[in-house]
Amino acid sequence: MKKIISLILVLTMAICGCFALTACNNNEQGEIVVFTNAFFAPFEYYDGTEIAGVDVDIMNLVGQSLGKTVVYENKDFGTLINYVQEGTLCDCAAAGFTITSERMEKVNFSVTYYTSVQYVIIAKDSMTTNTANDDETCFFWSQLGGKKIGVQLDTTGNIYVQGEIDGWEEGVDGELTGTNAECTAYDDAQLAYEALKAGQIDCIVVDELPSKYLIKNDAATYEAYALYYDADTATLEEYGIAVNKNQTELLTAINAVLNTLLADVDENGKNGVEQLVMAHFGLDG
Amino acid sequence: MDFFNGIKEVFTTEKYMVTIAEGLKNSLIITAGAVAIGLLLGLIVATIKIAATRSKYMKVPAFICDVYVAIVRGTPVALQLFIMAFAVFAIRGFPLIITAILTFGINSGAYVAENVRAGILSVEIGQTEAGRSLGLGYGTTMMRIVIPQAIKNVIPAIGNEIIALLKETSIVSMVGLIDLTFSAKIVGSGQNMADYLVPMCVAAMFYLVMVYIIASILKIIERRLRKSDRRN
Repeated sequence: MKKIISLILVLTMAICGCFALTACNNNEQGEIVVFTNAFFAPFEYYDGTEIAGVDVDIMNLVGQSLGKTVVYENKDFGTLINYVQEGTLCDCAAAGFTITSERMEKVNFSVTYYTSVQYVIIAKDSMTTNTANDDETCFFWSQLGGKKIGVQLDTTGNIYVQGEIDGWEEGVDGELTGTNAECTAYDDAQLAYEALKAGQIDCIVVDELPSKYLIKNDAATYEAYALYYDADTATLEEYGIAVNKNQTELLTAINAVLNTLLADVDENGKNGVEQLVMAHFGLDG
Repeated sequence: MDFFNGIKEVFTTEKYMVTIAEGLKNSLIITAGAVAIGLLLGLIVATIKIAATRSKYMKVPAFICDVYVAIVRGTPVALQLFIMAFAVFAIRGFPLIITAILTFGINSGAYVAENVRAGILSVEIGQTEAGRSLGLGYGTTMMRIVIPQAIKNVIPAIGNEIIALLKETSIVSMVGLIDLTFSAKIVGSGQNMADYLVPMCVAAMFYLVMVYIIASILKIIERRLRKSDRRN
């Protein structure tokens, strides 16, 4: 009995000891804390237990330019903007954020560093493809009518699909209003893909590059094409890094790094960010 | 056959195994720390509650303990973790693993307290009376006679609690820690295997093995404590 109690006491004290030690040295100012959601390859993903990706490379450059170390933490995507807005736990969030006016009210955004298109993943041949005026193979929003659509929670895919179903404003119908289309949000895109494979949903709306990762093993049974409003208009979106409104110095540094990267165009006409995307995209085929 | 090839792939790819090992390590650290805090808290709370039945000075601490047990048992541990991580310990650079250990320790304490209390109450009052009539003090009677018998009775319930804790740690990914379930998610995510089912099954195997080990250890402890029993 005594042995058990003393063992418990020792363990507790050891834990309290760690606690006190770590509590002492947490006031380092030389750190930039970046929150992200590392399930968005190639922009951020877990390489083993480390977070890597295009956004990580960009933020490391920012850290170098400011002479600070950069720390990355993984959080739920939907909570990121609120953390940045609050600013106590992190300085900025680099997670392939699409710049929207709702998000602009809460945080500052860097310059646009990548332009993406929404993609639709379906079981092969379950929908007919169209050809847009820019020769891109695509689907139209109207084709999604009545479908069960899977999205990742709080991503632009979620915002777009829900908006088209509910209507964007009072009295204005969206493309899918009244078609019995259903939007189901999953914690991450991979879960939505599992649901698609299990036949629980008909299609997934997700950003271009993640969609290509999702179907890489199943190219024979699933396909992904761009989502267009009509033959001329794609669902374009622009990525930016979300920065706390008080961190103007950091924002300036991020913009400086991004502008340098965007101006660094190689012989193939790819700018610095696109080169990073290609480098990470090639990682696992 | 794809499924078994996938399992083989998880076990033979070093990167995946490193990730899963990291998750396993975190799960075990959190469980061990939480069990230690939980047992200590549980013992204290149970003792205070029992003592309050005969001493009026213990009424106020016992009330505090009641509130603690009511709050902890009345709210989901996921919410407790969320509040701890983003309100109580919302300090930049504060190690999340400590937050997780404290949250689960405090959570487990409430359940252990009730288990231990049940164990103490399960020892017949005759034992206390016998001790007291032999001239032992209340404290000595408790420590020497009642609690040793109570411990024996609560081992199965405590075992339940430890096993439940181990599996409950799978929610810590919510605040950004890599635990066993989350490591399986990493292995299954788009840039790795792009399939959740296989790594999740591998994680399940690891849980199963760990729970089996914990159960075996508890069995040994129980057997030793029951040496003096006439039950067998």
